[in-house]
Amino acid sequence: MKEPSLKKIFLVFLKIGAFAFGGVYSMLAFFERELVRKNKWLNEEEFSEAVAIGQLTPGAPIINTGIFIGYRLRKFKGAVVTIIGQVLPSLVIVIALGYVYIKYREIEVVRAFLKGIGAAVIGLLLSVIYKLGKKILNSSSSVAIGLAIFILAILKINPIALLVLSGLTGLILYGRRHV
Amino acid sequence: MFKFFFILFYINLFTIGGGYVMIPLLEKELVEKLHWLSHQEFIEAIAVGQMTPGPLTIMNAFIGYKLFGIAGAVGATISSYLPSLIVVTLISYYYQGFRKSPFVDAAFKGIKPAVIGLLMATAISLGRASFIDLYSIMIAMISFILISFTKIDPTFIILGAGIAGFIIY
Repeated sequence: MKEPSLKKIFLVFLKIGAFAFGGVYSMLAFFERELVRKNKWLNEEEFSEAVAIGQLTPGAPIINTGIFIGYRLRKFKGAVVTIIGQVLPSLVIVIALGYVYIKYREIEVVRAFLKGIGAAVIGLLLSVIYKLGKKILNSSSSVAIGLAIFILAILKINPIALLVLSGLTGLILYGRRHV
Repeated sequence: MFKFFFILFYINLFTIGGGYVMIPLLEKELVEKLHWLSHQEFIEAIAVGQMTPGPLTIMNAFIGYKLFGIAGAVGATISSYLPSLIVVTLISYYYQGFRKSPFVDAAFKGIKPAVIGLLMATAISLGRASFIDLYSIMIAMISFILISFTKIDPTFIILGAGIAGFIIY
């Protein structure tokens, strides 16, 4: 494979950043089309590894998948370029939206609009819970962990402490069989 | 402002699995502990993150803009993605070992259900701010059903809910 130029990598990720609406799943579809099918920088298997890495590392998975691919293509510089490309379009839009939002948020019409949106966001969160739950809560121990953390979270225990705790629980429950 | 950047940096460093995992942590720090945002404003930030292209975590830039202007937005972006850059670069370097570690795998089996528990708690805490009447509960339920069981892009559903809010209120 010929090594792609930094500029080319930047442009491809800029395009992904600008047009990939609708969260992780639609973005992954975009990634696959641009990187695997059109540019052939990766094969399907390498791509799914990159997706897994994105899920297993801290931060935004889609950004991490980009960094992993960028690093693979052009080492550290490639990694940096993918972040800038992915983030730049949404940063510009967010600043523009922020400006409009602060200026007009008190207007009655906008308030009504925001009330509707606020309710839909809760619906969105519920559907994320539902989709993830269907996939992940597949054993009695995972249901127990989920419920325990839910109760602790309602009691206002620090969420980072809870994530560390659940990781340790996973190690104790599932780690032994590998040793 | 640097406190804000620091919070984003460590939240991004400690959360694995994406923007939704971050929501409970952000809510805890920015809304409940520091009171920099109301529940309502926080919900609006999630909506913006969802409606713009790119990752949901760009909502951090929106919060940054709201609190500290353009410098806040740019700084929030950098502090959100710097942990990723450091960690993923290191992992790309030591890739094979990390992937095969049974301990990483086992820890994740515990963390994944915990994320669901955290999200449920957040949905309740945010729901208290958003559910002002019967209409808002209906909008939430309809959005839930449409997003879960149809292929409609959530962006359109959130926009549609905004229009519904405009008509109802």
